[in-house]
Amino acid sequence: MSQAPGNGGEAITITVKVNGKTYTHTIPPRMLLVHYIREVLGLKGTHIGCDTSNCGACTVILNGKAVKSCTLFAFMADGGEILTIEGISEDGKLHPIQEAFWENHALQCGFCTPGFIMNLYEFLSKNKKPSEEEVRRAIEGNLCRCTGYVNIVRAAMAAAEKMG
Amino acid sequence: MESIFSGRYVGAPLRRIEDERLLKGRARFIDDISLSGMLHAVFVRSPYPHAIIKSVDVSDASRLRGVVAVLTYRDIAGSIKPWEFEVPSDPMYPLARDKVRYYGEPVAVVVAEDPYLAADAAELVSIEYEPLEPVVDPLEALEKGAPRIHERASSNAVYKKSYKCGSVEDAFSRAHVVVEDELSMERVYAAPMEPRGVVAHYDGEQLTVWSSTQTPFDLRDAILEKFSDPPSSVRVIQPDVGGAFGAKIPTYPEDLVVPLLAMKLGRPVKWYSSRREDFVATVHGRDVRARISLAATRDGKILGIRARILGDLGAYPSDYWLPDVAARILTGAYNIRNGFVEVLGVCTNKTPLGPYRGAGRPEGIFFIERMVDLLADELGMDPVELRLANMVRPEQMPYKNCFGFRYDSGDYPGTLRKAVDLFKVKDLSKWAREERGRGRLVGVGLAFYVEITSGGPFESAHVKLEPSGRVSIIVGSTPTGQGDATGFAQLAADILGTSIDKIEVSWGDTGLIGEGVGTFGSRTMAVGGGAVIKALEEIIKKARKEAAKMLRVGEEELEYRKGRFVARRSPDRIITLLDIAAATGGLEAKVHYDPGRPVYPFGAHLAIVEVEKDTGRVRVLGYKSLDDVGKAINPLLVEGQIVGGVVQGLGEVLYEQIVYSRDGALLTQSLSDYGVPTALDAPARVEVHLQETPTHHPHKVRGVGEIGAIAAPPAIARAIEEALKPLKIRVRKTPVKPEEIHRMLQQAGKEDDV
Repeated sequence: MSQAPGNGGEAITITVKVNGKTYTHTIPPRMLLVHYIREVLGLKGTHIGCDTSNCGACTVILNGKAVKSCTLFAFMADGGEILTIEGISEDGKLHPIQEAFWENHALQCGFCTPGFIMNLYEFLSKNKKPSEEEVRRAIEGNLCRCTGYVNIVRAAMAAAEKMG
Repeated sequence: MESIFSGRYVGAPLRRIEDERLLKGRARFIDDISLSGMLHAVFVRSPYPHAIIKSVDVSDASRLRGVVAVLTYRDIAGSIKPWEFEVPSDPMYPLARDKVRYYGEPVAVVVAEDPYLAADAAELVSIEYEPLEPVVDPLEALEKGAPRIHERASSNAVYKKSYKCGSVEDAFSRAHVVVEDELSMERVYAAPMEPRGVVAHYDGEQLTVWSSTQTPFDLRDAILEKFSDPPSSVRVIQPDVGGAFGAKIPTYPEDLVVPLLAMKLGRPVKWYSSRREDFVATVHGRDVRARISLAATRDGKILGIRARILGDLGAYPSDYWLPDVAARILTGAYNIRNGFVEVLGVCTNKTPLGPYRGAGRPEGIFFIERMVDLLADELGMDPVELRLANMVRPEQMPYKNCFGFRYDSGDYPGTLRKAVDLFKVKDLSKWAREERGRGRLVGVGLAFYVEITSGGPFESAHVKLEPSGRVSIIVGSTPTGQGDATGFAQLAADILGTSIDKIEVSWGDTGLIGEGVGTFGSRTMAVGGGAVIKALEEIIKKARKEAAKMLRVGEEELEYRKGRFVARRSPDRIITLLDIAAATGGLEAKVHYDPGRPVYPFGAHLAIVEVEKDTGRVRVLGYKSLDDVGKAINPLLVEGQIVGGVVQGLGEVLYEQIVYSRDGALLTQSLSDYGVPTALDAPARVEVHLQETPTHHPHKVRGVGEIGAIAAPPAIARAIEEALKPLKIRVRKTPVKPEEIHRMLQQAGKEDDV
């Protein structure tokens, strides 16, 4: 993706802050945000599991909101602030949501996990004491094929408790 | 050797050693592999389900700036041998030669500097097809004059076999009651969250291939066997795999074409499937239907079974054995001594059929459990009593079933009785009856299953105890998220008497371990674990020799306990494994473990459902399981497997279906069209109970990976039937979608009005 495609239109220069660091890149206008994050910035913890915004494996935080980065063009993030899975643990210490996923066996293959965690990152920052039903509604846009969700909900509840 | 069950790790619900890197976004899935100078491949696929390829024009695509190569069959014809199958059929070419047999079959491949460009160029490849009449319905494919899919086969029914025992005619003539039904499990898609992908790099001598696969050893062998000019060395690496569920067992066309491209072009090449593409390019599962009759006496003794099982194999019969498994497990947990089953595998113009979690057992068990419920209703008997009256009894073990499967051990009736108690079936049924009396559509369904694990020729392990005390375990197993590395480390830590922190487990690399089989068929902890134990035993045997020398006593004098050898008659003579490893420069063992014979997990599952009157939506209010998995090395992992499988089974009963149009186009091509369950569909809790009947494996493991997917469909189907009891509706197939239930409810409503 380092070479700009030939017929994607005129290249655009964007400036974004990702995980606290500011980047400026010139990119083709049709480049998806998820490809910018993965291929240009090399942050491969954000995954691509579908092409219809169903699976949520590509979820990141953009300007405080969880978004599906496969459904946005990179230029749409210009001037914005992005947080990815690589940016939520401080000094190598796991974030309480990551810790809760680990403790509650809320992941198996782990492919969907960063998307769930980023979605919950926003949700739990705004909902300090959610009910299980609220958690289920919040993660409905993230698919997991391994766990059957029971432990993911459990982990979210445990994280909410810890984050208080 | 002392019992491996006396340490602190085996049996403990330890959190996984795999997780930290996955949680931090530091895993390495196939699409995360990026090599310098890497090109990107996009496959051009047939928009027709059945057609002759008249011509392919790649000139426009080739001219596009940034395109490096566009290849068709002609360009690779001399380089890769096609697949030949064991049953009558034409070969499958890695890129279609002159004919396509399913919507989405790869015809050409474009390689470009970036994936956007490759996709642009793929649009410019111009292929002229002469459409042929397709056949989509397997019953129509059986008719005389149906379009023939393989010229080499005399009919589309490329696989036919029958099994029998006893005298089925006699059984049916003696019967007081015969029940008959037609049942099916529709075509589904495994839908692992990570689609497939391949990356290849050739340095002039060694070809290195990364593939999102369950079978790296098979892929290496396929490259060596199918390439007419194979490289001198092939290394296949399975990176982190984002779920597989059987669909990543086959070696696919892309697994061979991408490595060939890397060799031909002299640059690394990557292909990562889009989801839309994965729906057509990755095998589908199930698609088996059955006509079954049960013969029984008035008091509920099943005398015989007669069945025809028909599997829709899709375009290429690579996995023609799937309906065969469904047929042979068809007597389930029951002692039925007169039976006849005919199996047909039929080709149609669809994506090839392949293994999906359970591979034949979910189908066979769904069929028999539905039939036993039908018989209970017909006889007016309690389904539990009917099951108990017909189950294989513990004293009959090992028990060879009517169609040749040999069940190893277990007390089926005892397990069912225990489940009825644990699940509080009587209270629940009473509750459901009362609620139905108040107008709620709630129901409780119970199913019992037997299934098969521990297949395959062997598994390998290579264990090293370093002088530093570090332990390296390399396995031939190839887990794709189940957490087996943690289980293996638990076994090793207890056997070696060391801390789990000292243990590192690696897998999925033919460069690390030359031979292995892989993860499928619920075999990893059973057979792979057996290999790890065998390697550890060999290390202890070697250490014992050294210990005897070092302590100057006879080997038989030494007792091994938790990492130490102690001389029995002079207990002050002690030496630790660690000392021996340090003194000898380390100890290691490479082994193959032969599972010898399969083992058969069994158990009962119960579902509580409510049907919403206004929408037909089924909510699973509760779910309980009692499974005999043998020894649970890590109950947390076991529970994870059961719950995950149950929710996959739930999706299969309530939503999931691969749908083709009459003219052979795949209609379900996205996760918007295909109903993978969400967090709102899953039950809030699954009450998991485990039971442990030992097996012949050294660690007594039975296996657990596929249980949920096998047991949930018949349990949930029965619960729906019970919820709709006032309407007398039978669940004959999966899925039974909300819109279908809604229609039934409306129909019933109209009749009431009349």
